Amino acid sequence: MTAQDQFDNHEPASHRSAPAEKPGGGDVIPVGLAELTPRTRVALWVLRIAALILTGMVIVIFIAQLQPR
Amino acid sequence: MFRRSKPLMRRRVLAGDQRQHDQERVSLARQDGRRFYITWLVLGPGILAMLGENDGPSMLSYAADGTQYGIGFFLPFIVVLFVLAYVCQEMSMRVGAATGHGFGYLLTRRYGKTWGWFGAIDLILTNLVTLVSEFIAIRIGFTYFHLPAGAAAASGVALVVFTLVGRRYRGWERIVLGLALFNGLFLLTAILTKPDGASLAHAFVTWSPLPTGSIVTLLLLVTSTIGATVTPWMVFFQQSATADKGMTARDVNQGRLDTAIGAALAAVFGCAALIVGASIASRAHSHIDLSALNFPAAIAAHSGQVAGMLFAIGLIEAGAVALLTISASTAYAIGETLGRSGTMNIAGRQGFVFYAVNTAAVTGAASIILIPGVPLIAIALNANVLATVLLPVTLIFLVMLANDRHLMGSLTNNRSTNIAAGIVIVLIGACATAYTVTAFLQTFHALPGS
Repeated sequence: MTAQDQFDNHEPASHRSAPAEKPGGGDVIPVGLAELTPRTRVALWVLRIAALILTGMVIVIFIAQLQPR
Repeated sequence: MFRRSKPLMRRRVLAGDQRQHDQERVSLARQDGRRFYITWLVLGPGILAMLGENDGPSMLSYAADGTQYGIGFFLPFIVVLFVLAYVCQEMSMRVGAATGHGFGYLLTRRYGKTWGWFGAIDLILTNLVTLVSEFIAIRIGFTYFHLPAGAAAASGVALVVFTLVGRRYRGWERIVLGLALFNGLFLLTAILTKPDGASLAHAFVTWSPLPTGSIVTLLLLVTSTIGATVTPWMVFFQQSATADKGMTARDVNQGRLDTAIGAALAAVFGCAALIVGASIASRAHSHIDLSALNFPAAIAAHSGQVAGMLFAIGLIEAGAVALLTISASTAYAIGETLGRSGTMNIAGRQGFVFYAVNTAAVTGAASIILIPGVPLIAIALNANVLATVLLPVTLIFLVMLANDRHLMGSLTNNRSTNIAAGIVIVLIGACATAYTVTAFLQTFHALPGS
């Protein structure tokens, strides 16, 4: 019997138990909160605020483009 | 047996079962040593992310670059940008395959709800603007065939709803892959415009002639070209689609091939659009209107009706594929951030959030293009810039996830990938900041009374 035949005749996945799970080699792995260092947190917030300021600038440029010249 | 009970199963099984079923299909093909079949099964997310980004506004942007500045700088630049896009997308595929989770889910669960929602809101904002731009591109294609704007909006929404009816990732993916192949029409159009082969070779070797003009215009061109190649939705989409497809760590090599094929095809078709613009500009008569809205007609006037028609159909296809992939990325992001139904493999009430967001995103964008007097061109111009501005934040979280040994195990980023990713983030961040600050200052200087 070929693998395709086995596939056609196999028991649906929902009727069997899930395979063992492991990081990097498993299917769906459990995820918990990461512990960020204070320096990483500050760096992320600086980046976030910079992105917000730039987004605001793009919106202002967009509004300015709508003004009649 | 299983095949006979498939319709019933479709209504009953949950997302995890369908993913496992797809995984088993690959696993059995692997047992049989059927390499090409495994590759065929795994192909999809990478090609769709890359060709989805070869969307209507991007192809018009490449063609406009070719028209205004020729191929000298932009031809090799587009190829380099797709190499950078490969670096980002390979990481998102690897994180999805290693963890089985989408980007929105991991952002929320690993770094907290605040960062998860920031990522989702950024994506909603850029995707809504980009979806409007897709409808504009479809409308330009429809206009060539004398079809009204309402038909462009209605057919776009109908296409999205139609592809979601199967409520299964695999079926959706195959339909969109079939549509995405029509991105090759840009290559056919380029061939019909009879480009000069010597000029193409010269551009690749020398990166010249360089574009001339004001610094703001050049920065806008470079920034919007980056935004036409690498964007936040691609990261969200490919990681979520990889997880939804049921790819695992064993499929990473095929996933890399999928991403590389997508990048190569997208680079070739993107360069083709640039060549089309450059070819018709170099030989156009002065009375031909080369504005984006009239592009297919300008091509028809230069290279014949067939070339114009192919470009118009290409624009409709590019817009349609992007509508499907970008709206799906919005639905994945919101579903995953809410912690509910971040998958296409689920039906009924459990899948309500995913399908409602997917349909609402497209319907909202379609409604905007029907409002009389809406500044469509200004929206399209700023869509790529906005995506570029918000991209570095997304990429930094992607790199953090790809370096998270707890999640990634043996698939954690190596040193060379981190260096390449660092270069991409710095380059994109620098271009986006330089353009935005310069254009902002110029805007205020130009305002009356300032």
